[in-house]
Amino acid sequence: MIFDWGDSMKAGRTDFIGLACFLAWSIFFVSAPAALAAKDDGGNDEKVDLVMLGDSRCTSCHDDLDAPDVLRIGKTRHGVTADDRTPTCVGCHGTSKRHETEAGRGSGPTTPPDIGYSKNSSSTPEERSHACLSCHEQGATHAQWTGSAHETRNVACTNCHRIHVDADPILAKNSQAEICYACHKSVRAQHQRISTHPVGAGEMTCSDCHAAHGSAGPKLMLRNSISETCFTCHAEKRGPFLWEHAPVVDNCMSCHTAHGSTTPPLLKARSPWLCQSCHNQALHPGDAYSASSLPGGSVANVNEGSPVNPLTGVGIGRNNPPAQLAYRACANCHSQIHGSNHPAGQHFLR
Amino acid sequence: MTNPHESPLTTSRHPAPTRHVASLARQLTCASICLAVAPSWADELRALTEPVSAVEVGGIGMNGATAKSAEFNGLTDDRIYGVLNFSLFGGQAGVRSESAFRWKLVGKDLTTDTYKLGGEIGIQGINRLTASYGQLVRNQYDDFRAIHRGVGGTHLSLPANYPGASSRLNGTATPSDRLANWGNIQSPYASASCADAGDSTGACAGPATVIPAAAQITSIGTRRRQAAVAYSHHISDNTEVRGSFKHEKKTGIKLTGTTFGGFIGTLLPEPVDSTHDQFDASVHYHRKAGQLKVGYYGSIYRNKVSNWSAENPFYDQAVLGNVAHMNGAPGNQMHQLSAAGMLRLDKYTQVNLAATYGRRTQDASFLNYVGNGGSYQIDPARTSLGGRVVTNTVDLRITDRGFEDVTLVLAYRYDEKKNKTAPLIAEFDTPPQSAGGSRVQRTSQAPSRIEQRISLDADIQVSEQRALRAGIDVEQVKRRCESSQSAPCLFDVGRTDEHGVRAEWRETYSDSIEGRFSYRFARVEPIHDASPTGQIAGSRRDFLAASDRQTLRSQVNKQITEAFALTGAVDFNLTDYTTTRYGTKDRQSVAYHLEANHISEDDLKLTAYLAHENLRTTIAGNASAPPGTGTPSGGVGTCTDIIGSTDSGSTAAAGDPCRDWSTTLKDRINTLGVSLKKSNVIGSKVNVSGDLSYSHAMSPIAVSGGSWFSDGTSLRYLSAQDFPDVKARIIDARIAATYPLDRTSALRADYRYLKLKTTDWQWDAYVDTPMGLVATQQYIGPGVRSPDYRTQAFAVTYVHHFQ
Repeated sequence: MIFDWGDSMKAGRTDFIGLACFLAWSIFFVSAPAALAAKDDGGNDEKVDLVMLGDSRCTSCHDDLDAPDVLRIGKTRHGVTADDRTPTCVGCHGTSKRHETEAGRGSGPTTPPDIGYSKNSSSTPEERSHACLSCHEQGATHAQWTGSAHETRNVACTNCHRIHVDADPILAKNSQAEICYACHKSVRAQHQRISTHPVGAGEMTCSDCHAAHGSAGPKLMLRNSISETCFTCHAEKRGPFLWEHAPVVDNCMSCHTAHGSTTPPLLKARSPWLCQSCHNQALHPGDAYSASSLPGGSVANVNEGSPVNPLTGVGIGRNNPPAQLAYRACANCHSQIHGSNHPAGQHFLR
Repeated sequence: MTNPHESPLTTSRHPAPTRHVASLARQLTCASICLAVAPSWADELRALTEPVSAVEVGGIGMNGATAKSAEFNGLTDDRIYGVLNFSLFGGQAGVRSESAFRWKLVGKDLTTDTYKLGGEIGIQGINRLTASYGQLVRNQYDDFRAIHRGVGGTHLSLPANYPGASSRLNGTATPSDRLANWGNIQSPYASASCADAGDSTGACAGPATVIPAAAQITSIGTRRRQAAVAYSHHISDNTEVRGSFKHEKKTGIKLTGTTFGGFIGTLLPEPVDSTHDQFDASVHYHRKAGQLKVGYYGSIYRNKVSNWSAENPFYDQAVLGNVAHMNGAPGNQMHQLSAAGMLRLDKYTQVNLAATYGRRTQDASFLNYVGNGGSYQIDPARTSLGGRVVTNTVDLRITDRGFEDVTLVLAYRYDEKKNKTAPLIAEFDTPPQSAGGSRVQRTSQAPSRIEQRISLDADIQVSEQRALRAGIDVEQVKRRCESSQSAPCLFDVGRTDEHGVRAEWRETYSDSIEGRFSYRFARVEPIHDASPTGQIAGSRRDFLAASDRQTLRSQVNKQITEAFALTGAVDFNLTDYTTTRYGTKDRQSVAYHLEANHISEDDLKLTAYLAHENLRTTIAGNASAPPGTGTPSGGVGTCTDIIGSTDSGSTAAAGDPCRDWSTTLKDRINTLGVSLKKSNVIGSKVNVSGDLSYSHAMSPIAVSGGSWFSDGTSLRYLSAQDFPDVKARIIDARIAATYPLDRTSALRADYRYLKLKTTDWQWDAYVDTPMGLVATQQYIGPGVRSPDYRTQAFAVTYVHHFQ
């Protein structure tokens, strides 16, 4: 008999279970070497690393049962253990000796880890960011962090970044803006207006223009100035031109707003009044434009000689609706308003 | 899809006090039934710690689609589109691996016009190569009506049945000529003889008859195709080199306002065909005490449409060949060298210094249409501008935390744009391309600008709960035009100074309430505060005018329960142009925000916000009277104090109540948003999410004052009227549900409702008239209406995950 299920059954059960376990763990080794490498081969309660180097002191409690999301850091760049820059649990959360000591008690720890990142953590923003900056401040994109608008306003890295997730939402174009909106509430409302950059469509996001980790330029602009940042997409407006338009040379924001407007294309005010905010010469630059100049308005009825178009029966006197009010208003004619290279383009007509 | 709670070992969640019991139980259980359980636990751990690839395929059906609703997504038609998205991860990098090699390939919306394909490969910590290719469409108008033929090309011609140029008139001597008074476009007759005969059919059909019938619906929009590649390499522990290249090709059609001399014109479809190449290269070196980055940025814009032309649909201008010659945007380049460093002087002090030197050049050939009778001449003789702008910037920031609980930030910025382009004299006919125009000379200018700004901020941690931040800033902007010229510089103000002070208070009032309030006041003072040359006394240019600026920000957060939080915020901005009589008088905005967030342990996340914004801009002006129309009829209408008809725009006219006008532009915008995410509904199987955003904007424009108009014999004063409100209402609702079929696959359903209804007199008022496309004086309308659509989209996709 291969198996004696008689008197020796009780005695042999342990061996059977042991054999089964050996086979099982062998399969486990083959199917999940990475995971199994972290476990001891006897299934004992010996501390073993699950994800990060030296994480066993943490994951013996914070494991797939207690906090599966904690382990998801293994999916991220922080989980690449072959990269010697990869952090450890204590590298970010501190040695947390007291927390660890209390963990051995039956009631569990009452002292949180040294560095906490939750909403209710008592760790200061500086403490929270320190762990990240110990590596990332040496990166090419973080040199301007200290003293930047976000840093000096107590924004910690983890206010925006999530570490223990498959993909950090702030690094994705379609989810980044929502995180920025948490503080920049006006911008969220502005992005709901009829004229915006395609942020809502997921084709642009805040970091296409702004360097959240600090920049040398104003308004945390990605490049040296607001205009220079605009030119990375709108290079045709960069010039220099034969005929320059002063506010364009000065700043794109002289006429435009970046986040949203009720007047396309992202204008600060509707034309012709936008233009009249600078131009008050005689004749049409300084003229009053009101609803009386709309088709059917009182101005249109003051017709010289009152001729009537026989096709339509509508008067066509010279006071008919002015083109300066319709469609694109001033840009109906002054279409090269960002500058003209046409020899006859001084007034940006061509 | 991976759900950790589906594991046999994780069917119950253990509270912290029983952690060790649970852990022990798991291992004992594993030891007991390990054959069945061990692989499952391994899978579990693997699922938790290794990247998950996904492929999504399916279809999306559109209902009510329009170009405008599909402005950026390319879903322009009512039909079913395929859906293909994927994200694939590979390489040996991961937990417990000795390799840091990893790669990623991502495809998004690959079956639509707007798509992106990208990937990266590299050894983490050593190198990384990323590449992407994608296309972004922008549909702008699908109702533009073009009367010209050859749309998309560089020459636009009139339809074959359009009245010949020689028959198009510009006279006012007879009643029939009067019908051609606005450049002929409103005349139903092709010629005076047709008018005399009363025949507006066939060969006698004038523009007013031909234009509406000849107009063809033309889609206006562009597409950007972009390819990018970037590489970074750590050549040592302290040194990294980076390089990137981005190529973008933009094609399509845009609308461009075009005049045919004087006040006659139309919006024409200008072809777009340009490329933009951007290069970035940098070397970055870092030590613990600091770092240095040296880089180069290059940008080259090329426009294949250097010039384009269109036949004149208005009265005969044979002297210029009846063709408008237009310039495309000139190709240009920018090259910039940069150096940026950070140095920690000691434990408390850090210095950041960045400097750039750049050159912008533009040397596209001048448009040459000599031979059409309207030639121009450049003096000194040049075939291109040879434009050159040198840019220099220096940014210095010193951050010091040497005093306990105090952070000091001192910043200085120098930003120079020096235009070194030699001024040229251009000689041409004015008005351009019109018969009878006079020859004029104009001198170009090369405006330059130097901005300097210094600021000091102190952030003081008053107590554990309170922080005060205070700062001052001084800014000086010098503007000038290079070389001496007879004409005044484009910048009529040579220098503006801005001085600002600001303060911010942050306080945590209790465990559940925190607030933040900030205020800034700044005064902008032009050194030479006078009206620009040629403008009426009291006028100021908006961006150069003296002004007082106030900004207020406030926000309070209240954590009402562990799961529920409220945030309220008020933003206020006011710019008061203190010396402006004509121009922008003031600009103000107030925005109120209320936001509620609920995150419960039962996997429910709810965010709701409400915003109300009130914006106001007041602009004033001084209207002129039509010249040469006789003496105004004093006492006509509501205005009795008239200075005269010949001093339009003069100092004497300033303050004339019969000329002064004021326009107040307002925006009242309400925005509401609700976002909900709920996991594990319907038997803990389905994850649902929903987003609703609603925005309603109303933009009234009120005008006070009036204007003078001729009734043919005398001037009459007509009071201004308020405009109809411009309105926009946007409803965007999205619902998505994911149903896991098993551990590796799921079905996903999405529904989206999008409604945009706008009313805008600036477009609609000119379409909804009996005269339609020719409702505007001497300007052929585009027939475009403000957007009004309601779109529904329903998508079903299958998602497969794997590792």
